[in-house]
Amino acid sequence: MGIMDGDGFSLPVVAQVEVVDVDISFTDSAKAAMRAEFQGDEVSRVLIISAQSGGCSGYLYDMRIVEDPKDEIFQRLDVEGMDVLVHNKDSALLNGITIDFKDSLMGGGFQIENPNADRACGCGQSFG
Amino acid sequence: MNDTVHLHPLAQVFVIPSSVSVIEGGACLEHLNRILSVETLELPPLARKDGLICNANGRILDSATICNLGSQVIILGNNGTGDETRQTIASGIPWDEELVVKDADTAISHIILAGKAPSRCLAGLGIDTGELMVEKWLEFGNSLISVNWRCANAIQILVPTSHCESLVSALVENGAVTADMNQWSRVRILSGLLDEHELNPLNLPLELGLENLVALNKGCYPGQEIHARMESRGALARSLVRLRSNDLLPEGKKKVEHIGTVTITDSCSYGGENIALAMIPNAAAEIEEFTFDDGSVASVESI
Repeated sequence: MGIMDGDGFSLPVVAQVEVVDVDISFTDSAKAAMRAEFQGDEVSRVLIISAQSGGCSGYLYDMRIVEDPKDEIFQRLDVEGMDVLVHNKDSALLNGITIDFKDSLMGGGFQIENPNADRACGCGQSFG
Repeated sequence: MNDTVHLHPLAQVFVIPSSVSVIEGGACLEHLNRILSVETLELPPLARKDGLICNANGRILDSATICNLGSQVIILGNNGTGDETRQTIASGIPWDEELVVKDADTAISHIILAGKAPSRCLAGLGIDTGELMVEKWLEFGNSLISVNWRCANAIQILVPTSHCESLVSALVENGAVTADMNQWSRVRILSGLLDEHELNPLNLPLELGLENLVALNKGCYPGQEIHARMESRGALARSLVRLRSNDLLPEGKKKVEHIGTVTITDSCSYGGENIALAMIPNAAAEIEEFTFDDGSVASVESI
């Protein structure tokens, strides 16, 4: 018997999250950059915007273009024919954000302005 | 490592109230690496790593002593902080990672064997004490044993709670003596073993002398910006010391003229005097003795 074989362990801890209908704004430059990243496949692929632990301020943004998971746990936004997905657990953290794209060698790329954030990291990738 | 000359001549056994959490899943070390103040990515099986969970202001939310069991990681934290820590860990799990967080507060117990010769008790149980080290947990039956990073004569043991009593009995049969939390308070104040009295949001790691629980080269973690700024400026506002006094040293804030506010985090009686851990203005850390505004006098020892 090992240390993990005894009694008294709880069921998995469920994160206490609020689920809201998510709304995200995209600037024209962000839409253009997204379109380029989709590489013409807006049918089978989606952009997932998420938040995870980390960064200086507590949460890190993540943006990934992936095969459509076709899972009802994601909320789906149609951005000029491109599907943008947000997991229900991240909806309260990401609701109301504005995504911009800056074409700059230093500090360029997607930029997120988050009205829910009390603070943001200097690099712009973390919020809390 | 701290001085141990003051410790009990026999090993004392303490069952320490602690929070214990377990995170399960293939990416558990990666997830913890995003949260903890130390690097956890490359930990081998049974590795031990001592770190902190901090907030964005750099203040301490919990201690986190890690035991890597492969696809499971045990996180030993302060007493009373488990629920908040588990929510912190669970709420930031990425959508594509299957990680499970469990409450093991009642499943796993935390024993500390402290004294001048704790290894003798363990050797009596058939444990090769030469294998005990700070960086690793040694498996012994269903228990995990390691050396506290701050005090070589404090051995930490994680054991299923259902076996805790029998292990304590076995340690006593091999020369240890059981001790209560008042005695633990004395041991930890004298040895500088910190717990929730100091490892809480009132304090910053560098003020407590916990530079080795903060990895400023690992990249971002909550609080990292603050810790890096404090380290680069090298100007701490306060530091942790041990106080000794013939007068009572009650927990809380006390004023000292020309020095400022002294915050006593924990105190007890020992050898006819009173001892305490306290945060004092850093400018006063080199002072050997001061008088509180209420007239009580305390000598100052570095930790």
